[in-house]
Amino acid sequence: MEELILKLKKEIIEVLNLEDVKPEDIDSNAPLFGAEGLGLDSIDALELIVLMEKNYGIKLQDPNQGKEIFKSINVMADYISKNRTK
Amino acid sequence: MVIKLADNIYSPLGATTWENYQAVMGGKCALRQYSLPDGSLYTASLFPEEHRHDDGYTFFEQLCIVSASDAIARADIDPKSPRVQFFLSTTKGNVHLLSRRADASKSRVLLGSSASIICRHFGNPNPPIVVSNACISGLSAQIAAMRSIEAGLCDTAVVIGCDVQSEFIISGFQCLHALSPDECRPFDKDRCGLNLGEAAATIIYSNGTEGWIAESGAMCNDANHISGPSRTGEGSFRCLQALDIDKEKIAFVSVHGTSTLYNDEMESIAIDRAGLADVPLFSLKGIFGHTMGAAGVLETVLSMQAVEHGVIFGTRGYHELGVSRQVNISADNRITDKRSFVKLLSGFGGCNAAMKFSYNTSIDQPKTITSKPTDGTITSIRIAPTAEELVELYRTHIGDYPKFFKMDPLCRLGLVTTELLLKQSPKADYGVLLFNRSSSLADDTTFQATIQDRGDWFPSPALFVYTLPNIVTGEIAIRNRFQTETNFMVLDAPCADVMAAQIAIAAEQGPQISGWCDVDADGNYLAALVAVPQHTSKETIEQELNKILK
Repeated sequence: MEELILKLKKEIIEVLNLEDVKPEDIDSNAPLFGAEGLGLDSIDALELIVLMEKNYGIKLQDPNQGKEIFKSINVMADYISKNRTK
Repeated sequence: MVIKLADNIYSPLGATTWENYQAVMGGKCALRQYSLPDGSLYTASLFPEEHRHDDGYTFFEQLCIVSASDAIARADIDPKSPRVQFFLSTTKGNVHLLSRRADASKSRVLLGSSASIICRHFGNPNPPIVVSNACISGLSAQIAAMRSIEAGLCDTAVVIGCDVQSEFIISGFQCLHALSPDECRPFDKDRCGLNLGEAAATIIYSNGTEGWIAESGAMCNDANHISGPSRTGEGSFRCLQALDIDKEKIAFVSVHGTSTLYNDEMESIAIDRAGLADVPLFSLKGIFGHTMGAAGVLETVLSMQAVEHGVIFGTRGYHELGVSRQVNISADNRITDKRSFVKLLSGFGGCNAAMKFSYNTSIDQPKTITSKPTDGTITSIRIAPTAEELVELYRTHIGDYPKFFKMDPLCRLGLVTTELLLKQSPKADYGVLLFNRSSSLADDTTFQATIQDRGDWFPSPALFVYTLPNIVTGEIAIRNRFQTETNFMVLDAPCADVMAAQIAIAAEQGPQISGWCDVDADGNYLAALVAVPQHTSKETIEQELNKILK
């Protein structure tokens, strides 16, 4: 799981252009969206949906599912480990 | 006064305005269901496949030429006259050409290049002005045309609105989860996204006293988000307020009504806040789909037909109110004897626009420009950094706006240059009017790469939202809380004369941040911006532009 969490942090930094942010700067329990944590927005959420499909073969049909899955890096990694097809 | 001389609509429903009006009244629509490479379904109003060929003129250019030819013949004007100015309203022009790996005609992707080809077809000697202001382009172009005639820049303005659909655009909206697989349902409780459409529409304006009068127009930015509309309908509300509407006199508001959850809700709030909740409204998206650059022109022309025939169109796809405000909408056609209407649009980049039109009614004397140019101090800046130097400029002079790193190159350039310019300029609520040659070409190419390979087909939403050049004006508006007029124009080449004229007429509305902001396909950056006080003369602006454009 630790390996997946680190990989996920690196992927998120890359696809969301989080320049100036390093994997160790991201608290795995902190919220990804909103003022706390990474402060991501609705377009970032859609980009994370693409990341899930492209890198892990998980297709979310309803963007609202993302609200639960993208709560934190830990929640996201847990969902990926249980549902990944690649 | 500025009046309409003639018009045309060329859509999958017909080749003239009359054919399209009859099709609408006959309950027809050309929406059909199609599928994308990932198997997802979408519904769109498209021309038949056999119409779609790019020999000589591209399909996009053919539509523009056919539509404009019909309107020009009806207006009985000489398009070769230097007193005629062409405006082309489009968001993506020939963007489909990017998918062709070895295509020498890729320069045709440049909107200014394609507009010049269209203009040359008619023998017009003036550089055409492309208005590429996302989904409000069609109204932005009409407002620019109206003001150009009022300011004496031209006697006649030919405004062509057109967009054709391609995998580029459709996959982009699909990855934003904005498309409905079925026919769209504007303002309905079960609406679940928009349908795209393609069409060309033309409207020709001139000075006159009779017929359709373009009374007034307004544009306001939400300064809120680059793709999501304001939850309070701020920009649209401000536009409606600026039109100074007497609701007893208007037959209807022809709304944007894209059938997305957020757009329709936002419009209902803006209309309610403006005190227009009991004025009938309708959306035409359930018939034509969202025709993007054509929408503002097509929907204006059809609304004029409706008023002339005493009709308020029903909203196809609407059944039960699904917005928070009790707006006056119906699935069925209604009748009216009023002779004025309002056209409302909003778009990515946080932009909103509204125009008011009246037919042969006695209207208040139009506002004449009585203000004398004051020629206050213009400030200016020119930078041509590399991508790395631009980041250094950000770190040195700004540094407190992490969103910068998420922006595309054009937005980074526009934002940093504006920040540097504002440090040496008087504080004000500036409007933003930018020009360039490359539109959003660098981003278009990057986005195309995400859909080029069928085996690796993952369209990127974060890239797609930047494939509109006017997003940079939205980013500047958000950063500075400018809830003012924002607009983007594309030219075939930098031209201080044309730019200064458009900046001067925009500066009649308020102070402007304006000028050239371009990132070309080779990654060359150039920004040459001016901060212009209200009522600055064209000559003064042109003089300053000549210094920094070199």
